[in-house]
Amino acid sequence: MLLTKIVRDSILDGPGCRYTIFVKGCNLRCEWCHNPETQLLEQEVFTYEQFCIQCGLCLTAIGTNLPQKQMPIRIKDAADPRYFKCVDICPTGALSFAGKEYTIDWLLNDLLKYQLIYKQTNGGLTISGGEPLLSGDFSYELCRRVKASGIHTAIDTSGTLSWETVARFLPVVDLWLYDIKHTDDPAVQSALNIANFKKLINQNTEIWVRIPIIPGYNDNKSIWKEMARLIVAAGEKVTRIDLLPFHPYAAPKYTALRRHYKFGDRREETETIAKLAKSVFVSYLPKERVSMGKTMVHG
Amino acid sequence: MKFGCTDRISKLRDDLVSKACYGGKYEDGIFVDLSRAKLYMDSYKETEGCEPLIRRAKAQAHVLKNISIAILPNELIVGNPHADPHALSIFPEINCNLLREAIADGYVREQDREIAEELLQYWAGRNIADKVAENMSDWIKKIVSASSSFISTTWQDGIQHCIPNWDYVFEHGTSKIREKINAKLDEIKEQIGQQASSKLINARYLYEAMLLALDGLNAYVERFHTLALETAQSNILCREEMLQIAEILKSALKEPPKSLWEACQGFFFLHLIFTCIDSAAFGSLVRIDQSLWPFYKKDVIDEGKITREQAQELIEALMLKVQALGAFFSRKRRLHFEGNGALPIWSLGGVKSDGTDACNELTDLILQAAQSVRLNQPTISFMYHEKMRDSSLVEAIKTIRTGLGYPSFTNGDWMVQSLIRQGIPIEAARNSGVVGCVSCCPVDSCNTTKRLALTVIAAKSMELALNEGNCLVTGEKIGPDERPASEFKSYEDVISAVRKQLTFAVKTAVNVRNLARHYEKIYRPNPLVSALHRSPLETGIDAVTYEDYPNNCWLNMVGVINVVNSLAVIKKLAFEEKKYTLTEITAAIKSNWEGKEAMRQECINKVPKFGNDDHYVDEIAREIFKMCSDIAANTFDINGHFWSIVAQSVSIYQATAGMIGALPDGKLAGKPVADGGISPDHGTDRNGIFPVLSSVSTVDHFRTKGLLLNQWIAPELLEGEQGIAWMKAILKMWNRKGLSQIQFNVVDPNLLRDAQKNPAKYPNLTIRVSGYTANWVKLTSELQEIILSRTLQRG
Ligand code: SF4
Repeated sequence: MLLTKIVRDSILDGPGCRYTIFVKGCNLRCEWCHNPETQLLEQEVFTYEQFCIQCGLCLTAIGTNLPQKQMPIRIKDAADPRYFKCVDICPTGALSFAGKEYTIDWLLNDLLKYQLIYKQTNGGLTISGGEPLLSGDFSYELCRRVKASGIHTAIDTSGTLSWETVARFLPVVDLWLYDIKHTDDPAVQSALNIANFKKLINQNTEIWVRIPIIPGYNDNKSIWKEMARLIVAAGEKVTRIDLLPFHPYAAPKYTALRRHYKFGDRREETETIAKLAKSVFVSYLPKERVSMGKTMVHG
Repeated sequence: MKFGCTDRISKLRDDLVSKACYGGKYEDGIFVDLSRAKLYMDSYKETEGCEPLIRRAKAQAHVLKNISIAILPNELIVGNPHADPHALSIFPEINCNLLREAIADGYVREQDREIAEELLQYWAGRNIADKVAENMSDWIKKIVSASSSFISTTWQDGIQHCIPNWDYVFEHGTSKIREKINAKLDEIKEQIGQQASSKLINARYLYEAMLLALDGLNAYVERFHTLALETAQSNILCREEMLQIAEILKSALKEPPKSLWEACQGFFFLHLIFTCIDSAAFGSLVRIDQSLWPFYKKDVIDEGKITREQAQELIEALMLKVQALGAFFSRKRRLHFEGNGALPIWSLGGVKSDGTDACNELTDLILQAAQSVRLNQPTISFMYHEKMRDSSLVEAIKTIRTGLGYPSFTNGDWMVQSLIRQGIPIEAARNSGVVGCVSCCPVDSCNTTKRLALTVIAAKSMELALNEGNCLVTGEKIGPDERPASEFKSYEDVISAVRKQLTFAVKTAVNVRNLARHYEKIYRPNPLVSALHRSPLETGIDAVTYEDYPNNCWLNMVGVINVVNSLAVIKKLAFEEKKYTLTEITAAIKSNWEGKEAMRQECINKVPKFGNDDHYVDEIAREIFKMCSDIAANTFDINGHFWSIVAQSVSIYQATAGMIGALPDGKLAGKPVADGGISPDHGTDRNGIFPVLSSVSTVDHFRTKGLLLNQWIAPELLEGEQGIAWMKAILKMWNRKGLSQIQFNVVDPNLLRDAQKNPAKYPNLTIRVSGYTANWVKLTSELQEIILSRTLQRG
């Protein structure tokens, strides 16, 4: 499985200390996404021009009859496999792969090396992404084996695949980090997202709802109120709500993937907006359940 | 921001005069006071022809009876090495060169020039450094002193680590000790009358010397007593308090302390004498929460004579007194210990000699005092062990969370095992503490008085191995002959060449140290310290000579990780993938990678680096540290005890940057080697703190005296209850993996950057440099940048 990152000491993705992995591949394409390299299932190449020392090795790797001579080599489509050998040869990391291949055995073994910490802190495994449910077999199997080792499992999902796909994970997942991005936006499959949420709250499981607060997208009191009502209806099942203020720190990664970042120049007072959102949510829900979360850009 | 638990402490803190060096210089106003050195010399001039022990004792006493004293406003604990708080002592009887440096660098005042000349003249040929030098060939002299040298030994800095056994002193008081000595003396005189032997005669001189030295100590305390009474007379405003202080001083040290206050005062007098007046013995070993515990328990818990807050004020006052001390360092050492005035370290926690948890209420209180008064010395090492009580551990974590940079954590379970390996009985091994940055030693032994420390820049051995023993910086030959690197046929050939260079460096350094040891025993015995330990009285042997336990020698290896990463490059690129020949790699480092940037980048990015749980390079680390331990274990001190390695680079890694050439791991000439001792090289650990711990655990810590690991943690990881649980879990894993030491900088990099730009906003921002903490805004920008290049663990 292609992962974009492993964080062994995360405190952002569930209770205690988490072994969080980020799978590559997502069914959505949110334009504010702070880890854009997790969107495509395929391997991609980052181009970080600031590390390039103009050694020219990337050009020689691909053959000399290329018209261009600029360095780093111009990669239009970050997922174009013809350029992968340039990454192998680039000595500086100016060209680097967005994902790395891992097996379940390797990951399980790596996680168990530090199980003392995960057990001590009531932490465990979190599969994030990307969309873990999209790589269903991999995610399912990893959760199953980790849970069988007596370690807590969590999955960070947008819940926008079929209910069957979601439900399959119920026996192997202890905690759902369930994203609600909007209440009425087909681009993020709101209808399916909410329908699955309503089903999930009837299952015997724990849920943390995660709500990105995106200026110019969902920074609107009526949306927040509707979300809050949904969560109120879930009762005790939802033990925590994390509001995740938007930040534009992912901009360099968009550039490195040769993609345009629509939100790159958003400099609104995102913290202030998030605080406003919090005031709305706490008028519906117990204060101690609503917290201000954080998203981390991995590079 | 207000520091200290009371107004008095805040005031005292505001009046502090820093003795730390920044950029190789002391702060404005600091000068070398020669009055101590003059008194010491005067006494020696008068005692020509007497026994060395008697001469030394008389000189110690003469200094204590005559050196200027003062009591400063607001003080609860009194005692100053000089009347002027800007003054530093110097010890030309150990090394005259230091005084020459002090003069050249403008630290000796104009009015003292004549005395300085007299001192230089008198001690020429008599000081220990000169006597050692007589035994060295010119080549060795050059290697030891050359600017590109890879050896540095502490005796050259005029330092002799001599400290008393506090518990012994507190138990008996010097009056009782004096009685015991007198009884022994009578006994031995009688024996000598019947059957004289050298041993008995030496013992007689020692006992006589001990009594003379104690006279000096008593007179010193007595002078303070008188001064306090006089001050009470002349100053109505503080009369009550002065009388109280006088009461404490009446019996301080003479009798077992009657209160916590008196114990703190007694402790400080001795600390002062042995770190500033008689010699520069910093890095002292004390289990302060054990030594002061009976008095705290009596005053606060059993009798309720003082409140917990009053006790905290006393501890903070004591810390401030310790912070105010310093000694004059050599130029080299001023760079090696940037931001540091001395290296007093207090050990907390650990186990008692019966193996039970030693943590108590005072342990927690001292940690709280540290958080409240926020100083960079005394630094604290917390001796973590499996059975420790929760509240003390939590308090220790809360202390590092404040960004102080300490306590560092010493693995108490590792410590006991590693000391047992060195031949120390289990009870003594348990009742041990930290000396210097990481090394450990039993508290109840004379060994603490003569730790033998020296430093070898291991990274240099890599450079010399590839260059036929020649230094890349100066071009001079400073190592044994070696064939050209082009003739190495295998990776093993490279390893043997490294071993050869390193062995030579270690043997040379140890030999020089052994020479110094020999002369120290004869010319700088220590009757005062001897009187304050159990064994010299029992055996009749001076504390500097006597060994109750073997092996308190340690060999500090700096930059081992660069050797490890360099060998990984050579192994992979030259011998496995055959991408470059060893000749090409050698040529590249000789030219400081000129025109070879792509190759250098490949060495950096395409070869595994230590600290990422990568078996390939971690295995090399295991092998190289084993090699270092083996070399040390086959090197012996003057009594035939083997050496052990430590790895603690203090700020040597930065100070020596200019002395080390380019290395195959991609290091450029003039850039520093890895910090810490077993910390991954700057910024090369890219997978978080857990893989760092895994990598570090591949090395056999039990065959070392401690390997220092620096980690930089983002403050948000330690926030709240969750943060404490997180740190507890990390420490548990660190302990289980058998690692020796770990320390944390808990500070936001943005804050450090902001402080670089606006130093005035952050006058008290501290940072852990190595085994000590320093003031961030005063560090040189080079050292600041190096610290910022460490990897920040942010989850
Ligand atoms: S190989 Fe890498 S460093 Fe060299 S020119 Fe290409 S991108 Fe730049």
